Amino acid sequence: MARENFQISRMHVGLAAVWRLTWRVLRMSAMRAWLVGLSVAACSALGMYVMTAPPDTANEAVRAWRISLGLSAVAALAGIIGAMIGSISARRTRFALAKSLGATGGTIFRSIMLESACIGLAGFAAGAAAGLAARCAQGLIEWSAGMGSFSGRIILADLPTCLAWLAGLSMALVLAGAFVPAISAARLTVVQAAGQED
Amino acid sequence: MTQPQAILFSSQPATVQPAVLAADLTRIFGSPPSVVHALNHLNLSVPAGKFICVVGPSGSGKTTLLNLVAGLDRPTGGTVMIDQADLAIFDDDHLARLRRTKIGYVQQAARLANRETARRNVMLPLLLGGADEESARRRADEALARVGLTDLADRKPPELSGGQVQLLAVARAIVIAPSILLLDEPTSNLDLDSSLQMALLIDEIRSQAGLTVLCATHDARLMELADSIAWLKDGSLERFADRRSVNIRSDSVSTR
Repeated sequence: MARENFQISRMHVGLAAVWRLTWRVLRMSAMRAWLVGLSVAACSALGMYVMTAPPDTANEAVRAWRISLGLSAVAALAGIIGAMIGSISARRTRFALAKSLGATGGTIFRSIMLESACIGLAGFAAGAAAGLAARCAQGLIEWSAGMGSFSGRIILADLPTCLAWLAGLSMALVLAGAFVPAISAARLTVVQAAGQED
Repeated sequence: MTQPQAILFSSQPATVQPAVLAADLTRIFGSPPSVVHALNHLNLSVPAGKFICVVGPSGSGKTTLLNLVAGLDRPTGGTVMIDQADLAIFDDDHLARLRRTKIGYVQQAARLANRETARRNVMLPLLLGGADEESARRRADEALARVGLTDLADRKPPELSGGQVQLLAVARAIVIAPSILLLDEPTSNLDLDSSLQMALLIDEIRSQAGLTVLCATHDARLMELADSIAWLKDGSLERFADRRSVNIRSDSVSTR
């Protein structure tokens, strides 16, 4: 009994430590960029996995995957907006500095959109690669189990179209998610951003 | 528009054009019932090439005045004119351009990019203005040399002392070759030696470049260098006097 209690309390301490670490990580602006990238990567990976499904995949399965892709895109968009709002809020002082030195609202808006596009592009590349790797691994397993040829387990003929479609989706997600936070950052006055003194 | 009181007080001939003119300037923060009148119908004229010290207790509106002159904030009422141009007609992009080309501003809490080197910090306003990397670096090195920080150009702000950080902020303000220099308590966080060094530097920069200087301060050494002193109280100009008619001591300022 005592040993069990000891184990539970150790688990609580461990969970608390993990929570503290997670919270600290989430508060870091750089980690918000990771969150944006991972949201896009997840979407992109799912998209690649669905689009390279073998021709004999049941229609219901494909439909289910497509619904999952749509839901994950919505979830990713919400995640991106949240992460961008947090990221911009954490960088108010930096924007105040840039504005006080002569940066225009347009400069700040463009820099945020460019930064988001770069993160989105990286997320898309990583996600597409992961999705393709997952599909290849499944094809390999099915081929080794005698379920037809390896090339028959994956559709690669439309890969360029598939990549273009996913790149477009990724860019649309990050740019839509970053748009409103970027506008609000561009419109911040220095006094609002840095706080009023005297 | 009411006649600026400072012009009435000033001994300058009427033909001298003001580099900075604040007329009936009002800035209100907050909304009813908790309203703060940071500036209350303030009138002030700063003739081109002159050094004006703005003094007054905390909360008297010194920083708000400098922020409005720098175009960092918009007045609730009244006008700010820089070289005869009313800032009210400028949109935010024009104000940003004005800050990049005409106004150097050393804020009380020197806001520096702590992850960048001192040189890069000084280069920032030039790069934001579209200058190429090479010319920005050259001009930044000149500005750093002028404030005596050449040897520390590759250090980051957290590795510098308080005095060096203030000097770096001055270098960043003068690198654009401004015609107006705004200083918000530039010596407030400095020890005696650093304050003296800063005061001498400001005097040297001002006399070499013929800058118009508007400086909020409590430091008697800076007041000694000024042409005129403006007293603010509760957001209004209480008095404006020629420095020679003022008895400046380290702990207080009184009229002779």
